[in-house]
Formats: sequence, C-alpha cells, structure tokens
Amino acid sequence: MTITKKIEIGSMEVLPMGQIQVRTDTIIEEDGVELSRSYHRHVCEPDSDTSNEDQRVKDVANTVHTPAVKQAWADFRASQEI
Amino acid sequence: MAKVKIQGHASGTGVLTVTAPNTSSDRTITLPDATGTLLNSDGDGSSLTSLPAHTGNVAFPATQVASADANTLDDYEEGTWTPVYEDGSGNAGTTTGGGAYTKIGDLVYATFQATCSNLNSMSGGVRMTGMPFTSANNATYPSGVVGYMSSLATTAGYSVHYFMNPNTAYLEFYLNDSTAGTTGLQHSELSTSGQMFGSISYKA
Repeated sequence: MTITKKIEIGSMEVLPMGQIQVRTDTIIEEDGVELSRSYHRHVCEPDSDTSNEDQRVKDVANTVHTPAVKQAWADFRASQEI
Repeated sequence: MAKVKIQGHASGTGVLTVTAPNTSSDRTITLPDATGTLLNSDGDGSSLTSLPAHTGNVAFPATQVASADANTLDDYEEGTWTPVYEDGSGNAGTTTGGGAYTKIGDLVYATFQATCSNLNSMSGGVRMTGMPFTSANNATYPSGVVGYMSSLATTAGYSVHYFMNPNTAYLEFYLNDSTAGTTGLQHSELSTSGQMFGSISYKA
C-alpha cells in the first residue's frame, strides 16, 4: 500500500480584466486511487508578482498580462479607490 | 426473459396513464435493478438527473458550469486561502495564519485569522491579499468588521473595518477613529505583531 500526495494546478480562470483565478489541488492517493482532494485558491492580478507561481500560471500570465492589460488594470484600480 | 407486471392499487381508484412522447423514434426506459419508489417531480425532471439524492449528497463538477439564470444554482466549492498583509504598493508583511472559504453559486463566504510578525517594507494603508475569488464588478463594496484583534497599535475602543473594492481580490482595512467615519488602518497601527480574525461574504 502506497500513500502519495500530489499538488497540482486544478483550475485557472481568466477574468475579463486579466485576473487569473488559480485553484491548487492537493490530492491524496492510495496505490494510485484518489482518496481525497482539497482546494486552495488565490488570484493573480495583472500587477501581481508571479515569480513564485507554478510554471503553468506563469505561462498564462505571460500571455494574458500584456502591457495594455496591465495599464488598463492600473487605470481601473486608480478609478476604484475610494 | 424477465416478466413485466402492472398492478393496480388495492384501495386507490385513480387511473394510471402512461403517455407516449411526441416523437417518431422508439424510446426505452430501463429501470434500475433495485426496489424503490420513483422520484416525484412536477416538472420535466431534467435538472434532477445529476442529483444522487440516495447518497445524501449533491455533487457539482470540480470546474463550474456557469449559468446566467438567476434561479439556477451552478457551483459549490470548499477550500482554503492564504491571507497576507500588504500595503497599497504590494509590499508584503510576514504573515502567519490561514483562511477558509465556501462558494455557493456566486456567493463566497471567506474567513481568516492572520498575524503579522514583520512589517518588512510595508508603508501606509493596510490591505489583506490572497482572497480566494475576485469580487464581482458591481460597485457594491462588500464589507465586514474584525471580530477579534490583538497587539494592534490602536486606541482602545476603536474597531477595525474592511471592505472589498469591485473586481479585486483583497480587503482594505479601516479604523473607526473619526467622528465622520473611518480612516485607513496604517501599517504602524497593524504593528509587528498585530492579529485579526474576521469573515466576509461577497459576490464573485
């Protein structure tokens, strides 16, 4: 009987303004059969530091977070502050 | 070959009618290999096909199948998130603690307990980043009040409040220290050992 723990990116959702909602799944398996799965979430915004993100998140961020998206995000943030 | 038996009710007088669908194709209904009572439904029952009611669970797919219908429940998820104290420029303080969330449809309920052990380069107003979902872009500013706090450098009697800007994934903290309302909670007021517990419900 072998118990293993895997951590993987389970889901990424890109919102209209470029935020990437990331779900990280922690999977416990016994002999390859999944026993449990738990979720951890965070959001990468266009101005977020992605240097410590999973490579797949970095790849999406590099594609989505263009200078225009980052500028639009900065403008939006400035307009929303109250 | 198994036999088919249709039996009337011993005392009931109503007539059971089986109505054929409006189709030119043959249709077959295969009953389960078990004894039980068919699920009652006033409608067409189409939305009941994925509800394993016999297990006591209602399971949703891991990836939401979003619906724009205001009367459709399209998501359920439980998980954790990591709260981090930051300033408005993204400078993070060293934060320990944790957060949990439950998402039901587009409603997120998130709880947190977070302690700052080092302000690092934080300056100015305090935020908490790491929220599990981005708030809806609807200018409703979901908000809450810290339920427990300790070791903050604030005046006794002041409460700490927070809200989410639309379309963001962080909390902005405010101190109820003004006659007219609040002012931003400053990093110096969070201090190097400030601890806060709280929760917030918001639309994602």
